[in-house]
Amino acid sequence: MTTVFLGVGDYGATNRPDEVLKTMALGSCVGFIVLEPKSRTVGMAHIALSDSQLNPSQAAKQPGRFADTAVPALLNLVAQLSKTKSGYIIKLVGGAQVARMNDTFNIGKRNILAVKKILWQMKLAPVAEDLGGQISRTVTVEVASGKVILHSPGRPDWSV
Amino acid sequence: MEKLNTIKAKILNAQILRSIDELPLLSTSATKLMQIVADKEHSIHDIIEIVKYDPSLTIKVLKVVNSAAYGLSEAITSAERAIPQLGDKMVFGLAMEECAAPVYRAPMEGYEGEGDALWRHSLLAALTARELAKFSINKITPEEAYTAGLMHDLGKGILSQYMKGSAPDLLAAVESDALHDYREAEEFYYGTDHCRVGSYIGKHWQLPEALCDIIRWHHAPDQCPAKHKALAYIVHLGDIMAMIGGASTGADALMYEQDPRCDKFFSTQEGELDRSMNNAFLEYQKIITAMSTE
Repeated sequence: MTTVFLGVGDYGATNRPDEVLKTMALGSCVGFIVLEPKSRTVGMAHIALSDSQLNPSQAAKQPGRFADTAVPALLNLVAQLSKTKSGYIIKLVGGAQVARMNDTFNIGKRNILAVKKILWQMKLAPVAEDLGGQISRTVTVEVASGKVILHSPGRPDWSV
Repeated sequence: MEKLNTIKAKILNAQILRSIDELPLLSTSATKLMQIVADKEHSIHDIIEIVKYDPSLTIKVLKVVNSAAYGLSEAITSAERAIPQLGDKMVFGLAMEECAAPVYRAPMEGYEGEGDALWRHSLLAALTARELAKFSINKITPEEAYTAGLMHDLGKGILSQYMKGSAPDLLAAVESDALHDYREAEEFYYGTDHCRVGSYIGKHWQLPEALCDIIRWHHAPDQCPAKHKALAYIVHLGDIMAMIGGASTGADALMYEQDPRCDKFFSTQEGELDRSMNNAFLEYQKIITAMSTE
């Protein structure tokens, strides 16, 4: 099994059955996951912040970094690989925070809202999510099984 | 998991103090760099004057500046040319990482973290604290904030050695709301916590009183002595921003509370804050890439 690592702000997709996509330690970042079951294509973006206007030149170099550029970029990539623009399964994970975090500092909450807003505008919605809370999530997406597995230190693994 | 009784807690405390006594002292270069960086009138030449007489630090500086992350077209072979490229905070960070490696590179088994997790977390907390200093309503220099951010979690490097296998129990105690946060869980089960242990290390290294206070109170900034409270709030929030930015020390990730009084110490809007945090995250990724390919 080959692991394709996606760093902060990266996005990628694959339909090779011997590959898994993995991204480490999502804190307030959101993992945007797209699965296309017929062609067994999976994609994931590690979204760090909500709005590309925070740094447009960075967004041009690394669209996966911001919610508003990452969502269309990953959907386009999955469409190219799967040769279809419909039938996607979307899952969202991450967007964590610490306890009693006020809104000014709550980047995770802003990231979740931004991704959901863009999906809504595109008439899409997640079928599963594991969002918020005080959990740092490492995510693995298996091409062969379509499983999305979450890992966090000190806890047993779980899936969404 | 059983809470340590009073006698066992005292024995553990004595063992921790012995471990700290055995730590090497900070190198002369790191101590001098800390003093220089804290002085806002300092120049890059002051930094060069320290580094060029420290061969091992010079080698480290050259390896990092010549790594792929800096993308230079030709190799740099002198400290004089390397240091302006890296910046003073980066050089101070490298000096600290080198001489305090027994702490920063300690296996984080007690927290179920990776071997370099404490170093990564400290670096990102330093960079976010530096950005947050811009929004402080008090006059705190970015340099002070950076240094304090780099030091705040030193205690975990020592305490971790005594907490092996405890992470699921401590996590369960915090998640059940029986205890407030992971620091309180450390105190409950072991009779001490990473903040207190860190302040002992600070005293062993003869760090300034301000830094020892910040280390001691970074999870309870309201209890920090008044003269250092504003800086304690910056590091408190920098620590949290590093955790939510994905650089945590292991099982304790995010298992803390934000002090609700933070609002009184900062003046910022969401967009400004996010832009600053993005700058910190980008610089962190660049440094980590440079150091991992050195």
